[in-house]
Amino acid sequence: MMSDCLRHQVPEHRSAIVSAEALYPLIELLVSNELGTPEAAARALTHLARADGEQQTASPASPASPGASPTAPRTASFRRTSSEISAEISAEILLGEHGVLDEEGAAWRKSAIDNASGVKWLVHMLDGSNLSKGKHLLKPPAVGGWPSLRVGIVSCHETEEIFPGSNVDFGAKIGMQEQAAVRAAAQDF
Amino acid sequence: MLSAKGSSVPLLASMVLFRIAHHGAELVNAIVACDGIEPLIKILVTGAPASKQMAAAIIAAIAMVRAEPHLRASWSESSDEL
Repeated sequence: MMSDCLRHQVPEHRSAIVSAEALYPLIELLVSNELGTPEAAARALTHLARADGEQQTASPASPASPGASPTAPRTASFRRTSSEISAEISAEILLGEHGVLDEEGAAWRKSAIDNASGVKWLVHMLDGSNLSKGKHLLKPPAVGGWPSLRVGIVSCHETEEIFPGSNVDFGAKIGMQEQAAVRAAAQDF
Repeated sequence: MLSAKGSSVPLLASMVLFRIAHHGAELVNAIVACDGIEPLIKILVTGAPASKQMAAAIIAAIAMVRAEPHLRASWSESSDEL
């Protein structure tokens, strides 16, 4: 079975996924109340929005981590939040790697995500209002709101620490909204 | 199994595929080569909530890698040995 499968030519995956009409279902999942589902959908959209030349190295191991898979999940310390993922994908959609719309395929996919209201819901993910269908109500802690996450970014603070570690563990999330706003502002509409 | 009736079998299949998809580009490409994209997208639309999340994660893994010509060649060689 496996050998039969591997004999086939493998098409460009991103195009194949989009051609199979995955964008709308993925964007619909951005407003799912299932814990972790919007993040998974946003991550998929992130990769779909990338230019065709941008992908994980297909080599089975990287020099920095011998034996590690290129698609292996990151450790818990690298676990990213909704706002981080949505900021990244928003920037990916608005701009190519060099600040301009790039390859035709990637530009088309980005445009398709935007046209399907993907950017709108990704922006809502920045403050968690995607879970309340765009109404600006902060996510309750029970479904993973920021207060429950005790999130913050090391070395990304606007205010003095009240006590060591307070910005990371108890401070408001600082940086991701600004990053998304800066990238959005750089785009000519 | 992804297209099986009910919710538990597609969920189980998607969980296994999720694990497989995170163990290297070769296995991701094998999922695609076995026409795995279409049933995954069907799960995105009609699957159980947990299955949808798994399917989205698998699609993310698939979209992360691209088949490289030298890999295709190596697969052909290795599959001949299977």
